[in-house]
Amino acid sequence: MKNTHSTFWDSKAIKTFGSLGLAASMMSFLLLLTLLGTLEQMNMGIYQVQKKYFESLFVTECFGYPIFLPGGMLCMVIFTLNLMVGGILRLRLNKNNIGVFIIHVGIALMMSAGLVKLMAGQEGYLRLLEGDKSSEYVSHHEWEIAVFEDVPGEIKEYTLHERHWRHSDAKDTPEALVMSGNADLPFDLHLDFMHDNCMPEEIEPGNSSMDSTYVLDGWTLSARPMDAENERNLPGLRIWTSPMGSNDAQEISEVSFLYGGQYLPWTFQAEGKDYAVALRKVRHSMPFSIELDNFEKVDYPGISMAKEFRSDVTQASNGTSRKVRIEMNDPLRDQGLILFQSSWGPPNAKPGDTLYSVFAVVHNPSDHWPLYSCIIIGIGMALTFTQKFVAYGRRQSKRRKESPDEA
Amino acid sequence: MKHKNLSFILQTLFLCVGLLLPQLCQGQDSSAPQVNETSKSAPPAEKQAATTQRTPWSEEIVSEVSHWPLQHGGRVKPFQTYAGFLMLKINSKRSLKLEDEKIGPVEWALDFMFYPEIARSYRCIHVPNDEVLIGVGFDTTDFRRSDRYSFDQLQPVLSALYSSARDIQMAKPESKEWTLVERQTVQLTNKIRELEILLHSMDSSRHQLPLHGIKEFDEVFGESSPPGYSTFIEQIDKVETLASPDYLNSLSQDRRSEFINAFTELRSDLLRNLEISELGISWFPPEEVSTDEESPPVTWETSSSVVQAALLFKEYKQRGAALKSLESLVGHLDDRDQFLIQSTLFGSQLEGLAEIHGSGSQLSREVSFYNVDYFTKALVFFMLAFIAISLGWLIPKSKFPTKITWVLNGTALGLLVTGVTIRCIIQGRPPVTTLYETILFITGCCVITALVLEYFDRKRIALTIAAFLGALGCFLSNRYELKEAVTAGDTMPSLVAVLDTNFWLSTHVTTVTLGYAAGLLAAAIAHVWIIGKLIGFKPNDKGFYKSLTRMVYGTICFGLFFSIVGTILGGIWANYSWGRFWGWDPKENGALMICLAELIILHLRMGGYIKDHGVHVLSLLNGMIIAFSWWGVNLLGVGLHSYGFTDGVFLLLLSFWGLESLLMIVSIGFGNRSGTKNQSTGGTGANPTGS
Repeated sequence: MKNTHSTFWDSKAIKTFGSLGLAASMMSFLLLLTLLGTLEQMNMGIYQVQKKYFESLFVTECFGYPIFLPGGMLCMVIFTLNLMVGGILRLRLNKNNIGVFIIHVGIALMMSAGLVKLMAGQEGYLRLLEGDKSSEYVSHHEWEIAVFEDVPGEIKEYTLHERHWRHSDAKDTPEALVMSGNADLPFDLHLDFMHDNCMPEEIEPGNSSMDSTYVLDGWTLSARPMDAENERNLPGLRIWTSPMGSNDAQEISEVSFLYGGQYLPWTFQAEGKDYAVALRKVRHSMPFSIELDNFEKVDYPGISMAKEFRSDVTQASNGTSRKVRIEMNDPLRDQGLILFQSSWGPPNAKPGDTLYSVFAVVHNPSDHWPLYSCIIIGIGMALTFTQKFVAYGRRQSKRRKESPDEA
Repeated sequence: MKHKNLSFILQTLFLCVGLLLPQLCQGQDSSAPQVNETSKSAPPAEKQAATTQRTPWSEEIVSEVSHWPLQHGGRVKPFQTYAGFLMLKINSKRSLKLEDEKIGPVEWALDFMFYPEIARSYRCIHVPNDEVLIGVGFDTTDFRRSDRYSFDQLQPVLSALYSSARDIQMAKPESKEWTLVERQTVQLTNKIRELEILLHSMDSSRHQLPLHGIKEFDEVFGESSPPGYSTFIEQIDKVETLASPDYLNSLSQDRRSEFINAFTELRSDLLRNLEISELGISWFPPEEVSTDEESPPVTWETSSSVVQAALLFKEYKQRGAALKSLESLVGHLDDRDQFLIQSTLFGSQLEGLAEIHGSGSQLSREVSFYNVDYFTKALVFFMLAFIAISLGWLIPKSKFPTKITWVLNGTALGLLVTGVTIRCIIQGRPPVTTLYETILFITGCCVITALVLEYFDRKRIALTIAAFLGALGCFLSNRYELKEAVTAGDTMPSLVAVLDTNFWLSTHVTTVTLGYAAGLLAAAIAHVWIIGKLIGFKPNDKGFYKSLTRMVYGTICFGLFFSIVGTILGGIWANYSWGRFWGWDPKENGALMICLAELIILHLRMGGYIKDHGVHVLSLLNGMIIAFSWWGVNLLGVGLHSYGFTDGVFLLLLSFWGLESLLMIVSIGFGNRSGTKNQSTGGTGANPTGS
């Protein structure tokens, strides 16, 4: 058994996988990707850069030129596995490399924190005017389609996240795109994604150039170039209903465009009831509500530069409430959510105008892991380099004793 | 209700002032006044005192005036600092040579305040590119491309210059889109606007309000009264009485008309002057002390606000007394003893007022900090140390130059560290908050690390590098101070809200900056190895090159520790401040690149993929990456960390990258042979420290 174990961990494949050379190669690729991703931010928004270079498996284009590089995600996965194999599992511990072992554990923890955040984290924002109250926050980048019966009072919503419909069309993946079979909705809903960024455009009668696009009541959604700031990109899609269970997507009852910039939802009637469909940023509910009591922006004296921002809020849940102050570098942390003072507005507000405060809201199960990893890495490095430094000092003293002329 | 019997005339006067208040308040940002308005409303030349003879300022007066407190750029500072950075911004240096005298910032500023007619002819406005002036119709035939101009010389094109700057800012609100000439046009406009504030700052003290002409005014103010606001506000109670309805009704029809005309003229003149004064220097701390813990920071005010406080019957007596001292200085230009007395009194009155708000306690320390000029002195000592150790290399058997170099380096380091420490005390902040401060801090860290290396190594290599890097760092900080003067007007500016946290500034920023310092030091030592090999220096001294490798390796380990810890601390700060550990912001990426580059070097070395030569070449690459992270990312103009205005640094940086790339290529191409020869000096690779 021991031999088998030894053979496995000493096999050439595992040795190569845990080698210093592979670690250096992955770090070199990451270095190059980081450089390119930094320079590309002159042309692209940080969100697109992140997706293209750091959350990708491969990068095939850079500044308009075709290239082929492993993406950041692929590099980081291989690097982490290499570190686990070569720097932790295969490391033969002794007093000289205990520090290195600790460093690798710390880095593995930090990479895990990143993975957990990516897989299970959520983030968005909450914008409140003084006196406003909310118990949900809005995603920065993700969109969803919400369907609900248009009645006063509390309503029941059905939502479909963008991962089900972005870059898809009804013909390719009807199952994912059709909200059907739901007993509460007396119709099937079909979606056809059109553009990542678009604007409604009125079509003049007889405009033949628009033949290949959908035109409804003389209007279409025209594609626009992607904006560097991803928040400004407004997706568009075509949406229609068919009788429930008809199994024929072409049997259209009601049809419309949904556009990210539209202020009001699309409304229609089905079986005598009013329904509404909205394309909006994903909303996440919080286990408590936040009411903005007061927001204050304090400037440095005599100049229009902010010294501090602070929001006094009332946090309420389960019939209890408490007053909390949220300010720069001092967020509110409760029940797995963190609310940070992010910004304020309107930017051109005059003294006496009602201001709104914007909070970044983050749900991150690995919130404190980077701190723990920093402590672990710091201890490991301090141990390693102190050992090396002491050894260096001893050798130098010895050398000086051996050849006093050099001193 | 002391003032319940205000007459309608005085009410009109106050009402007008009151109506004007919001308008005046809009101009409270003294750093960006609307100069066109200033120019339009400047008092006619004939009303100003025509002083054409200038008496040099005595040392005592300069010393007193240096300590005058004022509020500028969001903080309380001594007049000397204000004048120093203003002069640096406008003149590009802190001295000006007159015909028979060389003057410093305080004398220069005093001349603009008290001898405006003379100072307007000082050629102290530096225009680095004459295309800016040609663009607004100025004939630069008799000037060099980069030259200094006087205010009078530029006066005819000022209006065109301001219009041009305004058009640029409206057409391209994002400054990163400006061309070089456009940027220089806006900068020149800002310089002249700030100079105008100084130039007109004593206008109201020279201006005679129309306090005569009717017998009532003569009775209140006397037949002759000194110029300035002081006489008027001292008699504000009597003016109030005069303006009572009873008194007005007691006048005959003719007298009443004459009386109203006189008041109207006074009101118009007063309002016009208050408007000009509002744009002036914020000398006066308020007299009310807020007891509310959350009250906004105390805003100091101009002389205009003191008069407004008097008109609105707010507390003004102490400020009024200080204003009187200031205004009296105009009348004592020929009596320097009295000038000294009044300037001392003015300074102490202001300091007394500042003290009630708990500010101004660092004024003397700041004055003495700039007087000692620690960093220039450190530069001199580092240069002397470099000369001494260079001589030491020429006479290797003598230990004297080495000892002298230790003393000189130690002295220079002492000055540098003292200077940085005093800056921390003055600001109440950790040592690194601006790009300028990173230069000082990194220089200090490089020198300390190099001296520690020298202590162990004793081969004079690190000692030489300490002197070289010390001198280079102090020189660069001196040059970059000018840039910060132009952009921020101070090297101790107010911090944006998120940076205003001493805990993270003292942990993340200092740690990551230490990482920069160590990486740069390693690159500097690697230069010695590479150039030494290329030129065949000490070809048979293996110990010399071995020492260099050990130092580079050790310094990279040291740097990696601080780079990694500092970078992760930055992420933790970001996580605790705005909810994300890592945002792929350019500055974060720069820090990550440094960590990766240093990790790559260590892993390749440990794996035996590179030997000594590879370590040194990659250390150069690491130096280039540090330069990118330190300065380069700020040039991209994106991200949260683009706080440093680095226009003009690009060429320097490009030259550095070009030279370093060339050196790396040459070293790899030609030095490989010598590198191969020296593989034996590289040990096994798995143990680069050479044990």
